[in-house]
Parts: sequence; C-alpha cells; structure tokens
Amino acid sequence: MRVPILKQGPFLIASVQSALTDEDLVQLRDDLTQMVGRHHSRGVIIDVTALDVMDSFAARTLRSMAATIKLKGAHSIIVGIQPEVAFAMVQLGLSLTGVSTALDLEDGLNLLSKQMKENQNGG
Amino acid sequence: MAGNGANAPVLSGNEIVIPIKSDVDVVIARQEGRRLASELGFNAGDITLIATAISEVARNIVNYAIRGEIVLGIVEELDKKGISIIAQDNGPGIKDIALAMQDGYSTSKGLGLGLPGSKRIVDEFEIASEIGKGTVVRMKKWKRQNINSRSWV
Amino acid sequence: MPEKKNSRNSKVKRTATDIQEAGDYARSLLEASLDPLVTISPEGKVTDVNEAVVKVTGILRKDLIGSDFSDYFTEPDKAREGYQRVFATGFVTDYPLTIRHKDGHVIEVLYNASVYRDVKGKVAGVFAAARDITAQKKTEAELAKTNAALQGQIEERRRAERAILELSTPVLQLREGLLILPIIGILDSQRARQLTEQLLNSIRDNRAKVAVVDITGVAAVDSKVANHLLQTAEAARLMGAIVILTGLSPEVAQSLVSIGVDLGRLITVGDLQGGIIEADRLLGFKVVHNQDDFTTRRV
Repeated sequence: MRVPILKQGPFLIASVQSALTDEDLVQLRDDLTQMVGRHHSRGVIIDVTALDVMDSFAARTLRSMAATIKLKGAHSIIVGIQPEVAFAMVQLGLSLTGVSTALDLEDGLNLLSKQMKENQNGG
Repeated sequence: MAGNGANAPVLSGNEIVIPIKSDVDVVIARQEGRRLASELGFNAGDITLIATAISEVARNIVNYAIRGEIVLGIVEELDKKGISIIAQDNGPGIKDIALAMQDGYSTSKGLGLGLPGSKRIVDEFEIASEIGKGTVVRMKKWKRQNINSRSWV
Repeated sequence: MPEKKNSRNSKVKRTATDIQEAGDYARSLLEASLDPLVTISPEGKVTDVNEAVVKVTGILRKDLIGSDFSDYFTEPDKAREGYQRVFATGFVTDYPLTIRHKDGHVIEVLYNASVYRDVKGKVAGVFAAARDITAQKKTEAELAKTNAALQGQIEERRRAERAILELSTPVLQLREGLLILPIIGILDSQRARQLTEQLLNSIRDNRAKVAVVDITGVAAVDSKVANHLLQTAEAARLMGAIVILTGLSPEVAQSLVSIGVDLGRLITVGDLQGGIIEADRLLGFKVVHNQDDFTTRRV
C-alpha cells in the first residue's frame, strides 16, 4: 500500500504502516525524493511508529533514502522506533548510520525547526 | 552444513506453510510468525526478533530463489517449548556459505543476506545449500523462562 | 411299604430344607454386605433392599420397598437415566450418584448395576450395588485445595522477585527530558536485560532525551555486560535519546578495552555529577543525533 506523504510547511511527513512491503518502501523513497525536489522541502520525517519489524532491507533502504534526500538539500529524521524494534535492530547489528532519529513526530518536527533556524543563522 | 547444531526439528501439532513468491508474502510470513510466537507466549521482544528473522530469510527467497516457502511450527523438547522456522527454496543455491555467514554491520561484508544477524537472534541455526538445487535454513528459538513475565527483553 | 413312603417324604423334605437353607445363606450374605444393594423393577420401583440401604437412606425397609428408586438421590433424573441405561444395555459401571439421607446429609457413591433374569430368561429387574466414595472425594478436594494454595504461593514468590528486580534498577526523572538510572550491586545478564527494558520503555514514557546510567556502585563489569550496555545505548539512540555512562573506573575501562570491547561509541563521564552536567549541556544545546558525534571522554 502506498505510504501517504503530508506536506507541513517546509517539511514532509510520511507515516508507514506495519504491513510495509519492500515495494512500498522503494515507492516511498521515490515519492519522497520527487516531492522534496518539487516543493523544495527542508526536512522529511519518516514515522515508523506502526512498523513492527525493521529488518536489514528496511534499514538499508532508509539509509539510502536519507542520503538521497540529503543530496536534494533536505534533512531526514526517522521517528517512532519502538523499544522492542530498537533492541531487535541492535541485536541484529542493523545500524542507521548517518540517519538522525527522534522519539516521535513532535520531537522530530522540533528538531527540524531548530536545525532550520541554525542553518538560517549561518550555524 | 554450517551452523551451531540442531537435529531435524520435531514439529508437534500444526505447521503453517507460507508460500513465498513476492514481497507481499514476506509481510504475511512475518505476521504469521508474530501470531504463532504470541500464541506460544513469547515476550514482546522475542516476538519482534522472531518476526525479523522470518522477514530476513523470506526476503532472501524472493530476491534470489524467486519461489520457496516458509514453514512455521512448534517444537518441544524435554521441558521447553519454542518456535521452528524453516525457509526452503529451489533456487540457485549459495556458492559460498562461509561468505554469506560472515558478519558485518554494514553490508560491505557478507552477502547482505541478513543471515549472520538472524543467526545471532535465534537459539539454533542451520543452513544447507546446493548449487542448482536450493537452500534450506532451519532456525529454532526457545521460550525464555523469565521471572518477569511482563518483560520483553 | 410305610418305610418306602417315609423315605420319599424325607427326601422331599430334605430337598425343601436344602433350598430353604440355600436361600437363607444367600440372603444372609446380601444382608451382611456393607454396600447398599437394591433391586429395581422395570417401572423404576425398589423391589428389594439390604440392611445397608436402610442405613444409608435412614428409611425403614417397609417404606423403601415399592417406592421410586430415584427418590433417594440429589439428582433423581440422573438416577433414573442410570437404571434405564442398565435395562437398555445390560449393565452400568462406576455410575456416580449422590444419595440423600433422611436427615439431610449426602453420601457420594459409584453404582455398579446389571440386569438379572428369571428362570425363563426374561429380564426381571436391575440389581444395583453402591460403593461409598465420600472419603475418597474428600481427599481429592483437600489435594486440590493444597495445590491451589501452593500455586498461590508460587505466584506470590514470583511477584516478590519481580518487585525486587524492579526496585533494584530504578529509573528517576531528574527533570524534563533527563533520566537517571543508578545501578548498585551485581550487574549480571538478567539485570542488564532488565535495565535495557526499563531504560527504553522509560525513554518512551517520559520522552527523555538523555539518560545517565551510573554504575559507580556496580562491583564488576564483564565484557558481556559491557556489550549489553553498548547495545542499550545504541538502541536508545534509535529512539532519539543519548545514554551517558558514569562511574566507569579507569581500571575497568582499560580492562574492557584490552579484551576488545569498543567503548569508543559510548559517552562516559567519571562520576554521576559530571554526567548530569554533561546531560544538561546536551539538553541545553540542539542535540544532533548522529552516530559520528559520540565520543569517549577521559575519566
């Protein structure tokens, strides 16, 4: 099922569902990349609160997603990784190197806003 | 055959066979695994680990073998109970199992099949592969006897 | 001729006596039996009883004879079904029923019953024998009670152990966004697991951004536990929180490094106070949750 993407000012918010297939994830990557370009978004939040399993493919794809979006000038933040999922990822040896994380949507948006302000102030 | 030792699994009761053809089936397989693990009484953390291991091996079938199946079952031994996960396919087989099992936190090492990670999170792991014939991965995870039944670690 | 007549008469008299004696003998056995014995007619009426039946029901023999068999049970329908089954199939074994004595008390029994036939082979009635299992049932009930009590004790024990475990790894919220976890005592694998669960759950529940884990009071830290702490810190980062480890003595740090534990990805500060200062600093600033920002501080 296609992941819905909402535009909130300079940011894009995508909330994935638990039954996320590989195809959905790849589609999401393409959609986000396209939309960031179209709207000149400054930040992207990918909310994985509903995701019950984060395996190596998901981790790999999220990392490449963040890298691609960065090239288009936007910062990505993954939010909503649950305690059990976080621990499973770590035990599996999955890292999200180079990807920012925050607890939830609120924290993620705060983080993006702060970073945007920093960038504006030449920080 | 490489692995940390497991006899042919003794499956008691019902087996769940999930045919794997596309990435949609990967999601179904891990949801079934989640359900079975929950029925068996695994804690939340172990359920997630089991679902993740299933996701990894099921995806390998889709990516490399085109077609195969995941068989889930209950195993019992003396006084412990657990879940059995078998991933089998008639794909091209893995040429270098040692390489596939090589650990690497990035995908630069190993073949990116998610096998070393899966081996880490289950209690018993076995892999057998023959070029041109196919691959079988057998995994078992036992229920932990925990004092704190609400614990998910 | 009178002699012959006499001998014939005496033979007849002897046979009649034999029959009488045989009958008396059989009767005396039935009366001596401690088990209540009854015969039931096809209409369900009691046709004969022994002394034990009088005792178990508290009813006089003359009142028992001719009355309904099912009248003397707590479940009359079940009793009726019982003898009807005997008439239908020929016998019934271990059929449970409860007899009610005239004065109100009950007796649990198991019935063995079968049909008996007259000389022509026709079914004349049901012969039923009851076995008193009151004592047996009492023992069973007591056993069940003891089991339940034991089960309850086991549950209580488990609850207490859980509580102790939780108390020994408390999570304190110092201020908004800042958690402190002081660990005292032995940090084995089980406690380490407990720690991880409580830490990660607390991060979510308290929306914490920094957690200071103090192991000043921990006796020994082996590589397994150290790795577990590392994993916990990584998992916390995935949830947007930073873990600061305090109380790691230089000696322990050195020994861990020497056996290959990579502490480089963990933030460590000498003592708890220093850790809190560092936490405030991090909270005051914009926190960049990037893998590359983790550094080890000199103790």
